[in-house]
Amino acid sequence: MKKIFFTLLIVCLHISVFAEKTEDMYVMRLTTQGQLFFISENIFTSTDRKFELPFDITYLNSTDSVSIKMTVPHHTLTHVDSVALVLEDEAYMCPVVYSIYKEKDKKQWIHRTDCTFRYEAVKKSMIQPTAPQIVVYTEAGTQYYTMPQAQWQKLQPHLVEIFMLIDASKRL
Amino acid sequence: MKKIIFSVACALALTSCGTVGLVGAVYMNTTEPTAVTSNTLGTKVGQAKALSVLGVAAVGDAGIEKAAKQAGIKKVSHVDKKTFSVLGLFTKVTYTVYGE
Repeated sequence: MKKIFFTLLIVCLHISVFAEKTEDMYVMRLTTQGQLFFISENIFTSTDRKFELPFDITYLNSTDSVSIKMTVPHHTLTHVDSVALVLEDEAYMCPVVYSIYKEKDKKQWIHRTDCTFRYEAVKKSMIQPTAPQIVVYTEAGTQYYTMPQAQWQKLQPHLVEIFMLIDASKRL
Repeated sequence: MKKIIFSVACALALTSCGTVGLVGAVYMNTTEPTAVTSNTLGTKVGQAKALSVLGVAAVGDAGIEKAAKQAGIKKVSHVDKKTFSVLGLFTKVTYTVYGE
Protein backbone atom coordinates (compact mmCIF):
# COMPACT_ATOMS: atom_id res chain seq x y z
CA MET A 1 0.00 0.00 0.00
CA LYS A 2 2.82 2.38 0.94
CA LYS A 3 4.69 1.57 -2.28
CA ILE A 4 1.61 2.22 -4.39
CA PHE A 5 0.92 5.53 -2.60
CA PHE A 6 4.46 6.86 -2.98
CA THR A 7 4.72 5.64 -6.57
CA LEU A 8 1.50 7.47 -7.46
CA LEU A 9 2.73 10.56 -5.65
CA ILE A 10 6.01 10.59 -7.56
CA VAL A 11 4.26 10.00 -10.89
CA CYS A 12 1.78 12.84 -10.25
CA LEU A 13 4.60 15.17 -9.25
CA HIS A 14 6.64 14.24 -12.29
CA ILE A 15 3.76 14.74 -14.70
CA SER A 16 2.56 18.03 -13.24
CA VAL A 17 5.99 19.51 -12.74
CA PHE A 18 7.60 18.58 -16.02
CA ALA A 19 4.63 18.63 -18.41
CA GLU A 20 4.91 21.88 -20.32
CA LYS A 21 1.79 23.63 -21.55
CA THR A 22 1.94 26.19 -24.37
CA GLU A 23 -0.14 28.70 -22.41
CA ASP A 24 2.48 28.70 -19.64
CA MET A 25 5.24 29.57 -22.09
CA TYR A 26 4.04 32.94 -23.28
CA VAL A 27 2.19 36.06 -22.16
CA MET A 28 -0.04 38.24 -24.32
CA ARG A 29 -1.15 41.74 -23.35
CA LEU A 30 -3.29 44.32 -25.08
CA THR A 31 -1.66 47.73 -25.45
CA THR A 32 -2.60 50.93 -27.24
CA GLN A 33 0.01 50.07 -29.86
CA GLY A 34 -1.20 46.54 -30.53
CA GLN A 35 -0.91 43.11 -28.91
CA LEU A 36 2.29 42.50 -27.00
CA PHE A 37 3.63 38.95 -26.93
CA PHE A 38 6.35 37.71 -24.61
CA ILE A 39 7.77 34.22 -25.03
CA SER A 40 9.33 33.12 -21.75
CA GLU A 41 12.93 32.22 -21.38
CA ASN A 42 14.42 29.24 -23.15
CA ILE A 43 18.02 28.14 -22.89
CA PHE A 44 20.50 27.26 -25.62
CA THR A 45 23.82 25.61 -24.82
CA SER A 46 27.20 26.39 -26.33
CA THR A 47 28.64 23.75 -28.64
CA ASP A 48 31.43 23.05 -26.15
CA ARG A 49 28.77 22.77 -23.41
CA LYS A 50 30.59 25.29 -21.22
CA PHE A 51 28.04 28.09 -21.35
CA GLU A 52 24.27 28.54 -21.37
CA LEU A 53 22.44 31.26 -23.26
CA PRO A 54 19.04 32.10 -21.75
CA PHE A 55 16.95 34.21 -24.11
CA ASP A 56 13.41 35.52 -24.33
CA ILE A 57 11.39 37.04 -27.15
CA THR A 58 9.22 40.15 -27.11
CA TYR A 59 7.04 41.17 -30.04
CA LEU A 60 4.49 43.91 -30.63
CA ASN A 61 2.23 42.74 -33.45
CA SER A 62 1.85 46.19 -35.00
CA THR A 63 5.54 46.23 -35.88
CA ASP A 64 7.79 44.04 -37.99
CA SER A 65 10.64 43.72 -35.49
CA VAL A 66 11.15 41.20 -32.73
CA SER A 67 13.31 41.90 -29.70
CA ILE A 68 15.41 38.94 -28.52
CA LYS A 69 17.00 39.61 -25.15
CA MET A 70 19.74 37.22 -24.14
CA THR A 71 22.22 36.78 -21.31
CA VAL A 72 25.62 36.14 -22.90
CA PRO A 73 28.15 34.58 -20.53
CA HIS A 74 31.90 34.87 -20.93
CA HIS A 75 35.05 34.26 -18.91
CA THR A 76 36.06 37.90 -19.43
CA LEU A 77 34.29 41.24 -19.49
CA THR A 78 33.79 41.97 -23.17
CA HIS A 79 31.48 43.66 -25.67
CA VAL A 80 28.91 41.86 -27.82
CA ASP A 81 29.30 43.15 -31.39
CA SER A 82 26.58 41.30 -33.26
CA VAL A 83 24.35 38.24 -33.19
CA ALA A 84 23.28 35.90 -35.98
CA LEU A 85 20.41 33.43 -36.23
CA VAL A 86 21.55 30.51 -38.37
CA LEU A 87 18.94 28.21 -39.89
CA GLU A 88 19.36 25.15 -42.07
CA ASP A 89 19.80 27.08 -45.31
CA GLU A 90 19.94 30.75 -44.37
CA ALA A 91 21.16 33.12 -41.73
CA TYR A 92 19.94 36.43 -40.32
CA MET A 93 22.14 39.05 -38.78
CA CYS A 94 21.55 41.63 -36.07
CA PRO A 95 24.44 44.05 -36.62
CA VAL A 96 23.50 46.43 -33.80
CA VAL A 97 23.27 44.92 -30.35
CA TYR A 98 22.24 47.00 -27.34
CA SER A 99 23.85 46.31 -24.01
CA ILE A 100 21.29 46.34 -21.17
CA TYR A 101 23.73 45.58 -18.36
CA LYS A 102 26.91 43.67 -17.54
CA GLU A 103 27.77 42.08 -14.22
CA LYS A 104 29.84 39.39 -12.57
CA ASP A 105 28.06 36.15 -11.78
CA LYS A 106 30.21 33.74 -9.79
CA LYS A 107 33.19 32.91 -12.02
CA GLN A 108 31.94 34.44 -15.23
CA TRP A 109 30.77 37.76 -16.61
CA ILE A 110 27.26 38.05 -17.98
CA HIS A 111 26.23 40.50 -20.67
CA ARG A 112 22.50 41.11 -20.95
CA THR A 113 21.88 42.23 -24.50
CA ASP A 114 18.98 43.17 -26.72
CA CYS A 115 19.01 42.47 -30.43
CA THR A 116 16.34 43.04 -33.04
CA PHE A 117 15.41 40.78 -35.91
CA ARG A 118 12.63 40.85 -38.47
CA TYR A 119 9.53 38.93 -37.38
CA GLU A 120 9.66 36.51 -40.33
CA ALA A 121 13.28 35.64 -39.55
CA VAL A 122 12.54 34.79 -35.92
CA LYS A 123 9.40 32.88 -36.84
CA LYS A 124 11.26 30.77 -39.42
CA SER A 125 14.04 29.97 -36.96
CA MET A 126 11.69 29.02 -34.12
CA ILE A 127 9.32 26.80 -36.08
CA GLN A 128 11.81 24.81 -38.12
CA PRO A 129 12.17 21.09 -37.26
CA THR A 130 15.87 21.36 -36.36
CA ALA A 131 17.15 23.67 -33.67
CA PRO A 132 18.57 26.94 -35.01
CA GLN A 133 21.99 28.15 -34.05
CA ILE A 134 22.60 31.47 -32.35
CA VAL A 135 26.06 32.86 -33.10
CA VAL A 136 27.30 35.58 -30.78
CA TYR A 137 30.22 37.70 -31.98
CA THR A 138 32.11 39.38 -29.16
CA GLU A 139 35.40 41.26 -28.92
CA ALA A 140 36.78 38.24 -27.04
CA GLY A 141 35.73 35.68 -29.65
CA THR A 142 32.76 33.96 -31.23
CA GLN A 143 30.32 31.70 -29.41
CA TYR A 144 27.97 29.16 -30.97
CA TYR A 145 24.78 28.13 -29.20
CA THR A 146 22.06 25.64 -30.01
CA MET A 147 19.69 23.17 -28.34
CA PRO A 148 19.98 19.36 -28.33
CA GLN A 149 17.60 17.93 -30.93
CA ALA A 150 15.63 15.82 -28.42
CA GLN A 151 14.97 18.90 -26.31
CA TRP A 152 14.11 20.97 -29.39
CA GLN A 153 11.55 18.41 -30.51
CA LYS A 154 9.69 18.93 -27.21
CA LEU A 155 9.87 22.72 -27.41
CA GLN A 156 9.25 23.29 -31.12
CA PRO A 157 5.54 22.27 -31.22
CA HIS A 158 4.80 24.85 -28.52
CA LEU A 159 6.64 27.55 -30.47
CA VAL A 160 4.69 26.63 -33.62
CA GLU A 161 1.45 27.10 -31.69
CA ILE A 162 2.58 30.46 -30.27
CA PHE A 163 3.57 31.80 -33.68
CA MET A 164 0.27 30.59 -35.14
CA LEU A 165 -1.45 32.64 -32.44
CA ILE A 166 0.70 35.67 -33.25
CA ASP A 167 -0.09 35.34 -36.97
CA ALA A 168 -3.79 35.09 -36.16
CA SER A 169 -3.57 38.24 -34.03
CA LYS A 170 -2.09 40.15 -36.97
CA ARG A 171 -5.19 39.38 -39.02
CA LEU A 172 -7.64 40.78 -36.45
CA MET B 1 0.42 4.46 6.98
CA LYS B 2 -2.61 6.15 8.54
CA LYS B 3 -0.31 8.32 10.65
CA ILE B 4 1.63 9.41 7.54
CA ILE B 5 -1.53 10.36 5.66
CA PHE B 6 -2.93 12.18 8.71
CA SER B 7 0.33 14.11 9.20
CA VAL B 8 0.47 15.11 5.55
CA ALA B 9 -3.18 16.21 5.62
CA CYS B 10 -2.57 18.35 8.73
CA ALA B 11 0.52 19.93 7.18
CA LEU B 12 -1.37 20.76 3.99
CA ALA B 13 -4.33 22.18 5.88
CA LEU B 14 -2.07 24.43 7.95
CA THR B 15 -0.22 25.85 4.95
CA SER B 16 -2.95 28.44 4.52
CA CYS B 17 -2.41 29.87 7.99
CA GLY B 18 -0.61 33.19 8.04
CA THR B 19 -0.74 33.65 4.25
CA VAL B 20 -2.68 36.07 2.09
CA GLY B 21 -4.01 35.67 -1.41
CA LEU B 22 -4.93 32.47 -3.18
CA VAL B 23 -3.75 29.24 -1.61
CA GLY B 24 -4.04 25.75 -3.03
CA ALA B 25 -2.68 23.16 -0.64
CA VAL B 26 -2.73 20.30 -3.16
CA TYR B 27 -2.35 22.07 -6.51
CA MET B 28 -1.90 25.70 -7.42
CA ASN B 29 -1.46 27.31 -10.83
CA THR B 30 -2.55 30.94 -10.56
CA THR B 31 -1.66 34.38 -11.81
CA GLU B 32 -2.35 37.27 -9.45
CA PRO B 33 -1.76 41.01 -9.55
CA THR B 34 1.12 42.21 -7.43
CA ALA B 35 1.56 45.89 -8.15
CA VAL B 36 0.29 48.59 -10.48
CA THR B 37 1.53 52.13 -11.07
CA SER B 38 0.29 55.14 -12.97
CA ASN B 39 2.92 54.60 -15.69
CA THR B 40 1.60 53.64 -19.10
CA LEU B 41 1.92 50.04 -20.28
CA GLY B 42 5.14 49.96 -22.26
CA THR B 43 6.44 47.42 -24.72
CA LYS B 44 8.97 45.72 -22.49
CA VAL B 45 8.41 42.56 -20.46
CA GLY B 46 10.76 40.97 -17.97
CA GLN B 47 10.52 37.88 -15.82
CA ALA B 48 12.26 36.56 -12.73
CA LYS B 49 11.76 33.16 -11.09
CA ALA B 50 12.40 31.34 -7.85
CA LEU B 51 11.95 27.67 -6.93
CA SER B 52 11.28 25.79 -3.76
CA VAL B 53 11.74 22.03 -3.50
CA LEU B 54 10.27 19.82 -0.80
CA GLY B 55 9.83 22.89 1.39
CA VAL B 56 13.47 22.39 2.30
CA ALA B 57 15.48 24.42 -0.18
CA ALA B 58 14.48 27.56 -2.09
CA VAL B 59 16.65 29.27 -4.71
CA GLY B 60 16.39 32.05 -7.23
CA ASP B 61 15.99 35.79 -7.52
CA ALA B 62 12.34 36.55 -8.22
CA GLY B 63 12.57 40.21 -7.31
CA ILE B 64 10.84 42.93 -9.30
CA GLU B 65 14.21 44.63 -9.70
CA LYS B 66 15.66 41.51 -11.34
CA ALA B 67 12.73 41.13 -13.72
CA ALA B 68 12.83 44.82 -14.66
CA LYS B 69 16.58 44.70 -15.17
CA GLN B 70 16.28 41.68 -17.48
CA ALA B 71 14.13 43.69 -19.88
CA GLY B 72 15.84 47.04 -19.39
CA ILE B 73 12.67 48.46 -17.86
CA LYS B 74 13.14 51.85 -16.27
CA LYS B 75 9.47 52.68 -15.62
CA VAL B 76 7.33 49.85 -14.27
CA SER B 77 3.66 49.92 -15.18
CA HIS B 78 2.47 46.76 -13.42
CA VAL B 79 3.61 43.43 -12.03
CA ASP B 80 1.93 40.00 -12.07
CA LYS B 81 2.85 36.97 -10.01
CA LYS B 82 2.39 33.43 -11.26
CA THR B 83 2.52 30.62 -8.74
CA PHE B 84 2.76 26.94 -9.57
CA SER B 85 2.76 24.53 -6.64
CA VAL B 86 2.17 20.81 -6.25
CA LEU B 87 1.43 19.56 -2.73
CA GLY B 88 3.68 22.30 -1.46
CA LEU B 89 6.56 20.01 -2.39
CA PHE B 90 7.48 21.84 -5.58
CA THR B 91 6.74 25.54 -5.92
CA LYS B 92 7.72 27.89 -8.71
CA VAL B 93 7.03 31.62 -8.50
CA THR B 94 7.42 33.86 -11.55
CA TYR B 95 7.14 37.63 -11.43
CA THR B 96 6.38 39.31 -14.77
CA VAL B 97 7.12 43.01 -14.95
CA TYR B 98 5.70 45.28 -17.67
CA GLY B 99 6.95 48.75 -18.44
CA GLU B 100 9.21 50.86 -20.64
